[in-house]
Amino acid sequence: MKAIEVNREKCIGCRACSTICSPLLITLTDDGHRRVIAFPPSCEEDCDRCLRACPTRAIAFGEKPGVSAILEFELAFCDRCGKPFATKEELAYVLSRISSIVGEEPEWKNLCPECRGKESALGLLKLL
Amino acid sequence: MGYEILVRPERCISCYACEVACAREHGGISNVRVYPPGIPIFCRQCQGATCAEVCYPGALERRDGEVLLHAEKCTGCELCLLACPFGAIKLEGKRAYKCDLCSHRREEGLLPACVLTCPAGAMNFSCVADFSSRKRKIAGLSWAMGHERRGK
Repeated sequence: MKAIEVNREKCIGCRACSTICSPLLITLTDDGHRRVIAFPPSCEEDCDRCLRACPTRAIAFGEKPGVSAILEFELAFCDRCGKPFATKEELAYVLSRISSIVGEEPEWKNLCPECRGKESALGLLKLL
Repeated sequence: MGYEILVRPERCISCYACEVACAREHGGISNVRVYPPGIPIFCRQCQGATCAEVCYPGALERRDGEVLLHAEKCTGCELCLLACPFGAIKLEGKRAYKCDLCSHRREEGLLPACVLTCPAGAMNFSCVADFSSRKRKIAGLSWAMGHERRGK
């Protein structure tokens, strides 16, 4: 029996594995202030999509059928609209990857994608 | 190359025709969004593309002045959404969507759908040099005629 082993230290709680899992065994639920990703105790023998999709290589396969792993992540809230939009780990990961382009502390870093659009619209308006 | 969609926000009348045209061309999903008080926001094909920087499967790639999205490689991880400073990428179902400058239309020699549709001339498909020289011309004329506001 094949089972997924997730490295909690590496996992950032993105949507890659749950989106790519075609038998829909990996589930992701956003619930208020936290995101819960549940991995099944065992999965299909000839499938390794989640392993290949994982941006941080947090997934490995083990032989022993484990218990289902459930990971919880704290969500970050948008500074403008107050809605949760991503896990804190995801945001930190993305910012560390793009800091060479946008700097360490871009002013939009705590805005949700929707509010970033609104803010850039207002920014353009000021130029008129 | 070097052609991109450039906006003259002072002309936008918030009719949302660009959103409708874009959705029609892209299977019901619009890659442009008009935010109040009337500014269309969509992918700017950034030179330093943060989305392409975080896209680990290589689904987003900057080439020939455009940020290309290879949908078949997209894992739907949402990292590009979080990397985009303009909120111009969205996640629908299992993959990311963004403005592709209507590549399928341009292959046939047609303009991007939003540019063709915009009744107010707010969306322009041109290169930066032409766009800015036209803008300077309008501003210069307007100033010469004694108008206070530029760019109208």
